[in-house]
Amino acid sequence: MEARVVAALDRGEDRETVRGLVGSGVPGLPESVRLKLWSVLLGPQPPPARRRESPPPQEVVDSRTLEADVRRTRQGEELFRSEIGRERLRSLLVTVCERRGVAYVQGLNEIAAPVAALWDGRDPLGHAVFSGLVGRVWGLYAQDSLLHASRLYGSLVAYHDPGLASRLCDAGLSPAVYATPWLVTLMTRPAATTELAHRVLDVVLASDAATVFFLGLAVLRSRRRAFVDEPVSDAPRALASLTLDAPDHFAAVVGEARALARATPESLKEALRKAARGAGDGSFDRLLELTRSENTTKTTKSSSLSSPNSLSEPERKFWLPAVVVSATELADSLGTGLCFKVIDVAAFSGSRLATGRLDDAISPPPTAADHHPRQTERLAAWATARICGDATLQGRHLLVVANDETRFLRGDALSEIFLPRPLRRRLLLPADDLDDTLVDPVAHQVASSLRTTGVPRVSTLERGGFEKFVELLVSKNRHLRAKLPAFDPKAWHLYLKRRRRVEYKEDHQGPLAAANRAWRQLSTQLVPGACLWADQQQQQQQQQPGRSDHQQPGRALVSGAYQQSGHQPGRADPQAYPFPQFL
Amino acid sequence: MTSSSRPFDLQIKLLMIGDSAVGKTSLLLRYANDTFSSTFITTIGIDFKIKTIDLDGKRVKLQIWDTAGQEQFRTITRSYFRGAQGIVLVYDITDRGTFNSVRSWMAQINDHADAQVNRVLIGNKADFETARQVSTEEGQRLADEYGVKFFETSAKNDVNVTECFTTIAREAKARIPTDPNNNRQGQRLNSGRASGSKPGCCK
Repeated sequence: MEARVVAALDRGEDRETVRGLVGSGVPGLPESVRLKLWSVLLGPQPPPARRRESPPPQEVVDSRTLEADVRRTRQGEELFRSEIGRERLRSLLVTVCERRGVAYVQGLNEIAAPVAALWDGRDPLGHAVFSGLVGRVWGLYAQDSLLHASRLYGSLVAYHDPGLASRLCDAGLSPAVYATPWLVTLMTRPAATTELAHRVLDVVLASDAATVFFLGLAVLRSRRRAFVDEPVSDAPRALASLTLDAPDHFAAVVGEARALARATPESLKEALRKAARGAGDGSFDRLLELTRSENTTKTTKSSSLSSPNSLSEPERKFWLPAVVVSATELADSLGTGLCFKVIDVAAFSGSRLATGRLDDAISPPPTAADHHPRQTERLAAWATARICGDATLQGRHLLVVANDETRFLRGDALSEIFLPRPLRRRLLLPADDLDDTLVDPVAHQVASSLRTTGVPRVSTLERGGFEKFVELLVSKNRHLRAKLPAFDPKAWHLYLKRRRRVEYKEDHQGPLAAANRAWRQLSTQLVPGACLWADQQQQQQQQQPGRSDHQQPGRALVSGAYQQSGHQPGRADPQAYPFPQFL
Repeated sequence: MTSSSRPFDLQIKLLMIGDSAVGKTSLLLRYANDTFSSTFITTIGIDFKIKTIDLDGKRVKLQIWDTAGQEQFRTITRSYFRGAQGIVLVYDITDRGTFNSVRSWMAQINDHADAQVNRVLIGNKADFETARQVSTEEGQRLADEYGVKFFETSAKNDVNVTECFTTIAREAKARIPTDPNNNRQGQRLNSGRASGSKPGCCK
């Protein structure tokens, strides 16, 4: 493999070809070609955007910190204890800062070291490669990028290993503690030797940007027992000693990282790719920010010692953002990709009846989803009991879907649903602030509750994603459209559009009923199939006594729980169904 | 670190701040591990150590957070200000710039830490007398201005290191209510876990 890489570099093959050859690493690659390899993998570098006005010279270099860092970079190695190695580091760091017109930031020294070890101190290729590496991490130093990336890191760990995530949380190790040094150094920081750092960079540069996250997660999991089996108080030490210390360990970590990447929803990977380059979307962050500022106000009013951090541990775990899957990914997953098992906790109400349900989804009995003051808690309790007790669901990717009706509630009602109990009534979220939030609050709370009980691989569908999903099935899937000659996707599309704009009220009768009927015909042909529920008119028919189930085609498609209940959707008596007693 | 698994009566969270390369990590390692090496690695972001000590008859678990000094990490480190019960602000006596930054650090504490947080001012690298740029009197004057205790320390020669941590721990302890029902540990007993305030993963 190494020889093929060398030959490809000699032939001047393009970036993609070389990336494919490097794959999981090229341990035996001659050091003389590694810089060239990295420069090919990094691709052509655009000239760095220089800051317009030249900052004062001392700010450009911050020579004091830079010099201190040069003297504490990889001091375990002969090269960096010698003046030759230090001079190379200095030269790389000063040049990159001057060319970009920026001040030195800590962490760059760690990625300069592997370059310096391969560099003769003169070849311009060294500067070019280092500049390319800096370009990969530079965005992370921007405002809030690291915080955003850390939160996503936390969500990723919790997605694959909720037990480990919760243990780290118990130990006080927030994702920022490990995410920051790992991300800004492209995972070279944990590499015990420069040689291993070289191999880390081979893999990181040959794979997509999210790989840095997966390598870190794989390293954490490779020493999982040190966190889970040892006392919590030893966890900081375990984290500090978390290194890639041997070629075998590294190879195992790379294999595990690839497996984890395959088992991760594409939507999350896309978010990770952006975050690895420092671009955050910030919508969930903003929400947390609101919560926090509310909390801060509270803190200054009362005794600071009793409420410095007023969320208890389970609540803090709860506040790790749940992984959000896009409607597009769910639609695609029907054919390829991850196979999601949908947990549909949408309320039995007008707008959702019109949109339909996936017929193999797991749905709660109507009382759990009813408009009850503690609706979300009851849903979460139902989901936990249902999922934990079902062995066939082990290892499946679970996707919690709710409906988007919360947006129609007033701000105070929204905060009532959205916040963990101690925070309720302290925060009044204006509904407008949630409009561009991707997270569906009800789905998020159900997913978090599942995660807290240790269920892995739980994600939520993006806010309002179910309508979008149905729409995608109709408009994008030619196969389905061919089966439906009488159906007009445009009319359906308009219908959905209108549904999303109007206030929540029962207004979809008349011309739209035709579209609904067409959908009902279609529903049985879909695999697994989005089945249209009866429209509002039909719901009213159901409420009339004396009509039996077989007269209502829509009804047969409802989940078993509902069929057994015999109750009217949205009107069930909350006392009539057993609920877990721990609520 | 077997001592850390023994039970403790109280947990105190301390935070170390100050410009980069003033010796925060050196001080912490000297105190927590009793070692000094001139080859520490750069703190990127945030890190912490735990040390359990006996303080006036109580077993106190100190959770000491070490932060990166540079501005770029401020969004990460700032979230650890809140909830800290004591803050150790460090400057380097051989670098006037780091001393001049003390005021802006104090302002950061005002903005982001709890109102009653205990503080202590440290002038580190006192072993390097020939390169001194900030006199002891100046340090003391500034500390007096803010009403905090002042120490000149040497992580290298282990001068005043234990004293400064013990002082800040004692001050914080005096402020923390001794009634177990009043502090968070007491509240946690029913969850089967004795743990004090911790930084949240997800704040």
